[in-house]
Amino acid sequence: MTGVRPWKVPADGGVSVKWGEWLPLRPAHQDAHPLHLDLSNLSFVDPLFLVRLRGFLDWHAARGHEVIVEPPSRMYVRNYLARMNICDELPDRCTFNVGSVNSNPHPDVLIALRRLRTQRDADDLDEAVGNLLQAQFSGRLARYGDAFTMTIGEMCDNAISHGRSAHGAYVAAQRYQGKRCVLAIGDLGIGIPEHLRRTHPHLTDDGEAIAEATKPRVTGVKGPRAQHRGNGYFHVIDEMRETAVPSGVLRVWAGNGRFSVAMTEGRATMRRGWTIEEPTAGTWVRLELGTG
Amino acid sequence: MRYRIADYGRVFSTRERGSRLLADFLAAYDVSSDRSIVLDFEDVLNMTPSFADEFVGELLVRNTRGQLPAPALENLQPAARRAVERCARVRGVALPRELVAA
Repeated sequence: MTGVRPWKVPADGGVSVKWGEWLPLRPAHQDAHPLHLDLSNLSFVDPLFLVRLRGFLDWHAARGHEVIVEPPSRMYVRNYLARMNICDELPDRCTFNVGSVNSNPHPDVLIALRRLRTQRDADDLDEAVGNLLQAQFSGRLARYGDAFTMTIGEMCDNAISHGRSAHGAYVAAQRYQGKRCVLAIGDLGIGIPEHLRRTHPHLTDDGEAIAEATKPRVTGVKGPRAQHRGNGYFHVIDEMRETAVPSGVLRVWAGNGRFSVAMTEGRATMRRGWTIEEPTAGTWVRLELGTG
Repeated sequence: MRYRIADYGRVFSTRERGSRLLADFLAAYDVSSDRSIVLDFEDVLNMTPSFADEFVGELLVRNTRGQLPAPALENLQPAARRAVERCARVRGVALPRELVAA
């Protein structure tokens, strides 16, 4: 297939599942086209993979690239992708058909893939989260509802307000056996490091910039209103501390930087920002809450 | 004046939504006749500090400038209460205990 570059996604991402890094979302990506994305081996889909997959399709389509997706060979994976609405409103230059599958809602799907492009979309998500809080965050997961809600609200607000992407923001969430839940939020905007350097030009290291963004009152917003801005990440981490979640891990990837904080019973057991070679477009956040 | 937040939703997240609710509140508030402000949070499940900042935070700041009476906050659930406390800390305004009734 001349001109086709197969991008075969592995069945088991191992560590990568935490970052969704198989999907190349980087400004310098100029591979031959059409781009052929092979998902045939895929055996597991994490919410972060899901939102990055949709971001991948939209990012390339916006640059006039044609993308052809080979669907997963396993029926249960295709069912899951259909259930999570991955093929809703696909870009014109994208070919991706999961076939005729069972797309009935599943009780462990907390939030099927949603795109937030307007404030009305954000208001609708608020309503959906209200329903979730009452219906799903009960029993062993009851303690997570507040940290979950805080993360969705603050991160989606960031994505819409600061990300400045025409694609808006993506969000998805999944519960696993009533013991843990994973929430992923992403956007194709300018990313935290570049946003922050508008007011903090000395933060040239992306990992350091993201770590700095998790401190109070650190923002790329200029002007008098900046005095009470820049607290979103700080509040998200602080909510995990105050509600003493048994186990929580927040991961952030933007530009060439990554940041991760792990909490156990409300105490931070690991917190660091670092820089990697492979950049990503936008900002991608993954929160995992578990019963420990 | 009693202003029932749950008439507008049960979960509130964005700054923009906070600004909208503030505008709605100010349009309904009659400065000549309303001697007190009660924000009733009954049935509100959660809100972010960013939303609270644009709504409650702005009202608290206007109170410190003498433009409005201090708003009493009633029926705050724990998560919403934490959001208000955080926004007050960030704004550097006092949140008198008697104004916050569980």
